[in-house]
Amino acid sequence: MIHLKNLSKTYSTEEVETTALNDISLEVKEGEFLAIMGPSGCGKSTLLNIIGLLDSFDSGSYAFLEKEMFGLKERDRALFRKQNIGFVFQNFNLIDELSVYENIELPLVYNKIGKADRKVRVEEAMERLNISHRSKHYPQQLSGGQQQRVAVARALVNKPRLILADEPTGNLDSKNGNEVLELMTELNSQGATIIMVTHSSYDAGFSSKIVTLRDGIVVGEKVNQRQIEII
Amino acid sequence: MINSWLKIFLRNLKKRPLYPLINTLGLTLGITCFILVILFVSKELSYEKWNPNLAHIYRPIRLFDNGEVWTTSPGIMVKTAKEQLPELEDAMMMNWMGSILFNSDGKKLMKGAMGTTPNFFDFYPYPFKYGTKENLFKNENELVLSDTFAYELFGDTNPVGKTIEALFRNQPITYLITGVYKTKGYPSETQPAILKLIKKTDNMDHWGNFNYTALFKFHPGTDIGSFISKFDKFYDENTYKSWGISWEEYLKGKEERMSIENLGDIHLFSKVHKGKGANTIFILSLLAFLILVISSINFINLSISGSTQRAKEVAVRKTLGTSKTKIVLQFIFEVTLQCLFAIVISLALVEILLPLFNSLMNSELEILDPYNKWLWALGIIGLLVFIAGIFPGIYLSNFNPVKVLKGNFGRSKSGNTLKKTMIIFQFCISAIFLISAFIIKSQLDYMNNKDLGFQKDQMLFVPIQNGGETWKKMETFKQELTKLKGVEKVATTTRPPGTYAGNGSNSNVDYREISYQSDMHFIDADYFPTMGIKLSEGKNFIQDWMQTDRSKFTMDSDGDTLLLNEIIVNKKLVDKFGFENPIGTEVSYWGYKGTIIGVVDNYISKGFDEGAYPALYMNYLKGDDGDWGKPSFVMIKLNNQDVKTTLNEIEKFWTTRIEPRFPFKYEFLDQNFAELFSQHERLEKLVTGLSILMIFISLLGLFAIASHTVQLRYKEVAIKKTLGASEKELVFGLIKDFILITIIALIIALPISFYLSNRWLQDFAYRIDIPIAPFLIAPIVMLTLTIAIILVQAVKALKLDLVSHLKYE
Repeated sequence: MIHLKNLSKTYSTEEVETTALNDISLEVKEGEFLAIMGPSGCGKSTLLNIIGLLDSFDSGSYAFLEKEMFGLKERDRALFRKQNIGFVFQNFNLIDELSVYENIELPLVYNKIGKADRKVRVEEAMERLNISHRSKHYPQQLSGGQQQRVAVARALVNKPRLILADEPTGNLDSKNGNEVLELMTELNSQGATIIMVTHSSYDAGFSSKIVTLRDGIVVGEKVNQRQIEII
Repeated sequence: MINSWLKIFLRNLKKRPLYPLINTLGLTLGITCFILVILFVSKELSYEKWNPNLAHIYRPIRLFDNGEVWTTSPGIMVKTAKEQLPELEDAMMMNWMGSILFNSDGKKLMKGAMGTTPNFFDFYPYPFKYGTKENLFKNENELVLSDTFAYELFGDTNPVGKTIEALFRNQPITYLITGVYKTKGYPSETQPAILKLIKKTDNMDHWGNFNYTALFKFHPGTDIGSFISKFDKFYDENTYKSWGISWEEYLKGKEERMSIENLGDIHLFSKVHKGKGANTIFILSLLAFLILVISSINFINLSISGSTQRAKEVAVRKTLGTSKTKIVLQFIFEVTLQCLFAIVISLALVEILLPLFNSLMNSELEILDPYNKWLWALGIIGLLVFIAGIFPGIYLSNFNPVKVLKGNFGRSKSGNTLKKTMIIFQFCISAIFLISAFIIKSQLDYMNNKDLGFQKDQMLFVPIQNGGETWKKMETFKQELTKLKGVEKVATTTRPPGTYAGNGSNSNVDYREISYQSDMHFIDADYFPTMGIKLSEGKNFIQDWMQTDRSKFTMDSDGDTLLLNEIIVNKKLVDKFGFENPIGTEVSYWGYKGTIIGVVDNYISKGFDEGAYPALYMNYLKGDDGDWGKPSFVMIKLNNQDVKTTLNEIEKFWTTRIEPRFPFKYEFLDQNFAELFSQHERLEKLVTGLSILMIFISLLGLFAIASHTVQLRYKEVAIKKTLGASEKELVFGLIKDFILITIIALIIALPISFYLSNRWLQDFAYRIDIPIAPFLIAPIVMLTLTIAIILVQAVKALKLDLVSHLKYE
């Protein structure tokens, strides 16, 4: 599904030039649950943002569903993004002015799904994540765990082929964190491809493959024997 | 503490100069306008107010049932009132005596002289620059001058005791200057350049001759209310006796009454202004106040927007134990600093702009005039500044510090509603004034281009200054003038249209039992053809002078002798009386029985405020007896070729042949006529200028608020972009609120503008229908400007760095 080949990215400020990603090659197959690990500043979020088409890269190649993404215009990237990718962030990134329902509905609106259809799908997602009773509430009225469930619901409501999660448990306590991770495993088992950035090896344990980055270089890649079973 | 406040203020200013800068700029503009207008209003309100006797001085006036007001009085009435009415402590009267031509070191200066009773300075106690107020006006050869005119004549020297050669009514006279009074700082409607003793004439003794401006001074404590009815009765009783008719007969014809009005009301609130005298200053004050409010609203809006960036500071201060009051005080402190700065710049701007404003308003205002209402101005500014400062102070001090410190801040709903409401208000007011400016402009265009019923273009008119001599040869002069190259036609009149159309007599015109007031004109036979006034029925005069044949007369029903005469009237007079066949109809007026030989179309003579008024035209009176019924203006119709040369030729001819010793004066009729609506023209310029300024200030505010609002929504934009929103969807999302606000403001503004425009237009007898265009153009202009400003901000938001805004708030 995803082929990265010799991908590099540097950030430059007025004084210094930082290499965030250095010659990365990576393959993610459809249905995989990939965890990207590594210390702070190793480039894992940058990698995720590039895969999510939120950020650009300087050299190398990135093929998504066998289509080259290098040099794609913003408009086309947006199109790709909204059709194929769902995002879950550490800080949830919900829109404060919109209710739970409206937040979840957004990707469907941008994909020009009809209103009736939207309603069915949003309600389905809310039910699945057990937040139906909060549908009219605003993000600030919810706990962190609930907010992240809304974010996950928003990520999956459009049935994307790829879900990108950037430290989804970073702002949650262990109980709520577990719930979110279980949810992702479940989504994965139903066929969604998931890439998750984390620096917790506990979290990474939920994935099927772990890639470790250090200073923008892939230093390890191992297939994970699942330690935690889903009941 | 103030030190810490000042430090924080200055550091914030350095870090984010945009808000305080826009804030101060908007406020400066608002305050500048406000001060300029206050100066104007102060001057207008100050008329006569310096007069210590103000409370006891009143002007007799005559009120007609049809709404007409006369502000002059019969001389005999003033004299008799002083004798018979014990309420009066004193009475004075004055009237214009005509012009005096001075010959001062070869310099010819001509100025109108005001005749007065010797007690002028008891009523108007101007201080004296030279001489004293005692022993003035002992004979007709003594003059008192205003300081400005004395300067023109004598420069800086003291002229008291000096004599000067002059020509008055064509007679050489040597005048003695006995006093020079000060005018500067004593605003008054009565500041004649020359004062001389009033001349006793026989028209002083007739109770129906309202020729003099009179003033009564009352004993302190007089009940003015009961005096007014007594005064009217006093006039009636004396008048019917002097006319030798019965009381009943007199009452039957009575359609007017005597009244009085206070000296202080004369300038703005005289009955003669029919309640509209203060309109200009009222409109101006309203405009100035609104512009100040709009800039204050900007101030509040910008301060609230800017203050969210200060939320953290406030929260920390609160956590450390500062009281709410101190936080409010801190913001008031910052606002005050900005306002003081704005006021200082405004004062400088006022000083710079004052000459321009003076020429626009035709005024002579100065910052340091003693009657300027600085206390009002600073009071109102201070109050608004206080409100503008206290708003953001209270708003910020109400923050919950815990929430703010946790980062959950910046999207308070209540603040948004307040801001939106104020923007709606600003836009609404701006739109109203923009539309009004368009409508006033349309009416002005209409007035400039409307067919007036006479030729106003290329029409020169010259006042006759040396009557007696000039009249004798008028016919020859007319012929010779016509022969000059570039001159098409020449005529004379007593009453040209334009600013002089109000001069001249009105009289009752009677037909059987019906009687109407009419404007009386003396003209020559060339007047109608020269002016292009159309004769709709009958024929024109064939001669210029009425050869009064005293053998042809008739007796009216009362046995009075009426001289026979031929007259021309206008359509309005025919309509009023309802004549079916006006030609040959006889009407009586003054001492004449006039047979109508022609009817002319109505023409707009006194401007657009008044409709057509009955008019009666007759030939000049032949004979040497005074100025009555003699030509006062020569109208010269030029062709289009080389007006300048023609004008030179006419001047040469006039100053060598017609009136050699007099300065040549002339006016063009179209320019003179435009003066009739110069007040409206001024209003148009002001409203246009101020509405542009208002829109500018409002847009300035909008710009800052839009940039702030959009910044607050950067995270939202980033999220939506991540979720795949298109650029179109994002931009629309950002600008739709503002468009909605603008549309709401416009919806409120349209009916209000329509109502106000209609009200304004109602005062014109000749007016446009309210045009639709301004109601389309103004909204389009405002929407376009709004969208343009917000688009810039929205497009900026589209370019933002997605990744950083997703991570951090």
